[in-house]
Amino acid sequence: MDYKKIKILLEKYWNCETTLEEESILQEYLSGSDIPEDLKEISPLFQYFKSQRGVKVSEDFEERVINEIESKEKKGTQKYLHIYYKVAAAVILVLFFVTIHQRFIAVREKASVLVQDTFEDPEKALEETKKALLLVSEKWNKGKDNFTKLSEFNKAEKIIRNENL
Amino acid sequence: MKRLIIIIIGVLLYTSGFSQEDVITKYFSEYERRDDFTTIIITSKMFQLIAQIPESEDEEDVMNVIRKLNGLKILTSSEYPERAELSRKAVKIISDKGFEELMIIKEGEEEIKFLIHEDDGHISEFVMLIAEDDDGDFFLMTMTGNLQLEDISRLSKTLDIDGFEHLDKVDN
Repeated sequence: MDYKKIKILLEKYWNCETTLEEESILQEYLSGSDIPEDLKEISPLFQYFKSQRGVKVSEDFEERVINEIESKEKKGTQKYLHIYYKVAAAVILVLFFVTIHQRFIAVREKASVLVQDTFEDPEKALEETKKALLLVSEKWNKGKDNFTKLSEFNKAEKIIRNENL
Repeated sequence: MKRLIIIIIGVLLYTSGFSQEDVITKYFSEYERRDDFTTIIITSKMFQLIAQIPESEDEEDVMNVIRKLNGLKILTSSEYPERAELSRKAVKIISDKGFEELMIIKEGEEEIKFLIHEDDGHISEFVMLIAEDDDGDFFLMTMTGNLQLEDISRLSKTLDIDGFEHLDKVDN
């Protein structure tokens, strides 16, 4: 096995074009003791490949994998349960608001039964409104009159002061 | 979760949208039902009907104000034994609820308070409370609507001039 051939095989290996036999040739050569200086760097890789050739999975491997998967599946169902909880919470919340809203409407309806117009005739209601506004304006003007009185008093006070000066 | 929060906020806003009521409905409903109180209620529905009544020319100013109202409520009593106490309570309740005192007129035993509730620059509720001692009347009036302060002062000017002829009409 000459150096050139190994070089070509390596080239092919890096390009992923080697066959299984060619790879075993490379493994044999590069895990040997007589390795050229420039290939020493990659020899541990092939040594490792060679050493791992004999490793086999243990008898109960399959069983262990299946157990592992099943336990994962259990966790999955737990997650589903979690979603159900969320849905239940949302439903309860919606029901809660619906009840509150219905009660609110009920209270309002009760109130609207109470809130009945005192008058059935708009004309009468208008007259009553006017009467109420008249009362407001009467009292309002009473307050304003006092303001005017006050300002007149201020005026008078100013005049008196000016006369005194 | 985010969606849930948005839904909750939406529901809350939806329900709170209903609760725009006047002070009498909110805080004095227990008195409304009593026999020794007189209540006058004019609802927004009635104000819609009133707005359709053809107006006479000299009433233009008054009608302009009335059209801006959507509720009028008066709660009054001359028989309830603790009227002075109720007046004090009313003042406290109303001024606690974000109402501002506009004018207070005190004349002997009679005290008149004007209170307003402002909402985005307009008056959403106008309250007049006349409080007297236990011998006098208790009078609480609230107007809801979309009012301006000028409306009230303009109103009092026009009503002041021809107020008495309106009074005659009311008596008839």
